[in-house]
Amino acid sequence: MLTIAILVTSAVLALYYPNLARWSAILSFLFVNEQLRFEWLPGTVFSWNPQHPSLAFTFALLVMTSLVYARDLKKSVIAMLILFSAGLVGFLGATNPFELFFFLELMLFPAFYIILQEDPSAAFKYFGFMQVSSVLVLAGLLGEGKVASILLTLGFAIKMGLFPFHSWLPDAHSQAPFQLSALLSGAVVACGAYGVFRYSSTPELLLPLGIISAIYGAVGANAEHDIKRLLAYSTVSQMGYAAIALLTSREFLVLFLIMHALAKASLFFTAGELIRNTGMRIIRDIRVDSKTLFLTTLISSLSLAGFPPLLGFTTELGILKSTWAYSKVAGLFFAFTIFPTILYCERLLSVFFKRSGRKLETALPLIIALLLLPGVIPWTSS
Amino acid sequence: MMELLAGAALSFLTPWASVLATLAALTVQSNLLDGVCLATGLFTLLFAMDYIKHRKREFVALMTVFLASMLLFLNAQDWLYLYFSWELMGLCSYLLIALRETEPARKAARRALVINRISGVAFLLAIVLISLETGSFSFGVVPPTAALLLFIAAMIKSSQIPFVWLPDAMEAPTPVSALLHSATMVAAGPLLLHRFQEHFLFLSGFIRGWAMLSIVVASFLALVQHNQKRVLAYSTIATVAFLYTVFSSPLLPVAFSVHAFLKAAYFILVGTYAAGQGYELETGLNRKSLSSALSLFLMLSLSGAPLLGMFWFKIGENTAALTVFLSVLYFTRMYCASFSGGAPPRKGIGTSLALVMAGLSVLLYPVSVPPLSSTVSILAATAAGLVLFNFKPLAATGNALNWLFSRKFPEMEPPEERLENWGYLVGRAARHGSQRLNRTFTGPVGRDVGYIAASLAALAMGVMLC
Repeated sequence: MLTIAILVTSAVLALYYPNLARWSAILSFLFVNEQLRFEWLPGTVFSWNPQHPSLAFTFALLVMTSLVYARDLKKSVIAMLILFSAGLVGFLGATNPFELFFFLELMLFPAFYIILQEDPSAAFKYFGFMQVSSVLVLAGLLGEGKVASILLTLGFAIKMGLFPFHSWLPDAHSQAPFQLSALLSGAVVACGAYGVFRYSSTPELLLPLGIISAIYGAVGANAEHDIKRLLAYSTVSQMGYAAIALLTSREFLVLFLIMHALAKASLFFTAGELIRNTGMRIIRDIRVDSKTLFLTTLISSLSLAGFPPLLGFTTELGILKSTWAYSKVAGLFFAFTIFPTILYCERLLSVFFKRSGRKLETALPLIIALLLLPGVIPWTSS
Repeated sequence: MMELLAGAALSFLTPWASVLATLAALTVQSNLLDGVCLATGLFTLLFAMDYIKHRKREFVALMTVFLASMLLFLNAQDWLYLYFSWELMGLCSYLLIALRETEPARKAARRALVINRISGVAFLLAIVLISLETGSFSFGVVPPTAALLLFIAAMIKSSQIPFVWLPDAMEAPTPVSALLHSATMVAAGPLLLHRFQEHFLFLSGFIRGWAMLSIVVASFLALVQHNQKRVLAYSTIATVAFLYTVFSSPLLPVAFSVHAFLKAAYFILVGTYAAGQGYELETGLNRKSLSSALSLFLMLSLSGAPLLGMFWFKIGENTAALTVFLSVLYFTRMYCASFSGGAPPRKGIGTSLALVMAGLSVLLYPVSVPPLSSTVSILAATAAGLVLFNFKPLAATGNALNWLFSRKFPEMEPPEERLENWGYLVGRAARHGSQRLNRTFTGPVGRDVGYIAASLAALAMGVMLC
């Protein structure tokens, strides 16, 4: 909880001393494991208690990397980014509906502000969808019975960018600066899935929606030429897996979200580096010669595709097993959805296989991607 | 295996580290298959030292990683490790093709990766079924559905008709083609079936039928190629298909080894004498030379002429005469086109390496007294192939099949649009149709079409599942 307090303070500080604020925000994550509980008015208990510290640590790592990258941004944008991360960390430990709503809104407004600087239409689209989703979530949490559960799931499904409600996602995630897109794509959509996981029972409707999202996102990603839009569509596809996991294999969900957060964030950081250094967004035109970024893309995208022995394989194997056990038809459909991921992953990799590319080495995204390698451990011990 | 990985890492300092690591790994092997893979790897690495100029370190390191994953495949004690090596081999193949860094190589690499991934998903589904049945990933019971999926995965990995990706993969440098795309990786499928043969016996009719189809179609396709490496690629598809037909024979590992040595030797030899001309079929080389004699030996061994190479595994098979006839046809065509002039072929380390590997293959023959009738029929088939290789109707059939099964059209002059060229017409119609489909799903309008189709599918699935 100290983290959130320091983050909010740093956000104000950032308006005057952006570098100091960035580093104080980064250091605030030292306290991410502290729990807190205090009464700020008689009868109103405010507490923060993360159920899954691993997820909180992953998000903290992403926020820290993103803040390291935030050097080039404007003061106000840095302030908003820090405020946004306060909302992100707060969401994971929220213990009552109002806190949840509060932290969702704390994520929404700064993100809206940052996207507004780049592309107003994408920002308003994002704001509209998110506002509807937050209200649905609040209504679902306060209500009772089956209707409330459906409202809650619907709200979180919008946040996840599942199939019929995905249209805001490619716009917002590709228009935001890459420091924010990494967090939006890695962490915020994961918050949607995590919300269903923690606060709601899962209706069966999520299964077809998930399968459609998985296929539709992969096909959309394969058809995109813009590298950031490709990654955004891939998020739609991966959240389809999360929706399937929500119904059939809840035990793998958190691990899957961690995997997706690490892989997607490192890919967005890579894309940001590529765009910043070459000035190109179209995959065909980008040509670089880089060992570190190539390794990052290789590990992260193959992890998304479920290649062994990466973390993505561990989770996808688990989800496939329980989906098959849940229903054979669903398992078969899920197996079909695994395959198209490789189509867009290969397009990302093709950036590095062109002659006379520009030299470019940077290790920061690689550090995140290397965390996907411990996927070896779970399956060697089994 | 660890020494190989260390060698791969060290080869970024000096490429010779991989050669030394492979040599070190080879000296401690006692197993036939491991030894053959490592020996083939050693020879191709030595050849690569001479052949590869662009990004030599990366190529050599990746080839060594590939050797390690092949060893993992041969020695895995667990379905998960087997699956791991299966995917790793596909990935190495992709990276080795793409490292050439040309546009056709990138397309070929994408094709190889995507088709290998289909194989990987089939394999993954199979091991999921196995683990749901038995509760673990250890070897033992294989349910029939899983066996079918494993077989399909193996066929796709071996590039059998209609999942053809191998000829395009010939964009990779020749040492890579020699090692991965002919000798070891594509022939891993028959080894998988051989290792778990008791679970595949109920499929043997299906396996044999599919493999025979593959042999016939691939042989005809090899007959009309205009590039030496592509001829060798189709001949690999045909020979691996033959290995599928004898998957339950105890001699299969020996057949695999002989084929690996011979095919790698042929690739190394072709890479030595034809690389300068871009692997064109007509090279106009002198027939009275060591390269010519060596290719004659290799081609007769690979097709299975009496007493040579694959002959020892084909005797006793019903279809031996047919397969020998077909392979002699395309090999003779290739030989006659290459050695038809007076220019002396280029010599290099590759010629000596090919000579040594051809000699090694002879040491592996499982010599016995061959049955007379089958020997005579194979002899007749060889003679017929040597005589008939220029027979027009055979080439016409090959052309028709090429338009149907091969993605690589521009290599050939389009024949006249007449009714008897039905293969061409059908192939052209199919190609236009697939292009239109592709445009529908990737164009700006296609997004909406996809959206509507996906919604309809969602509706249908919702009804099905609820």
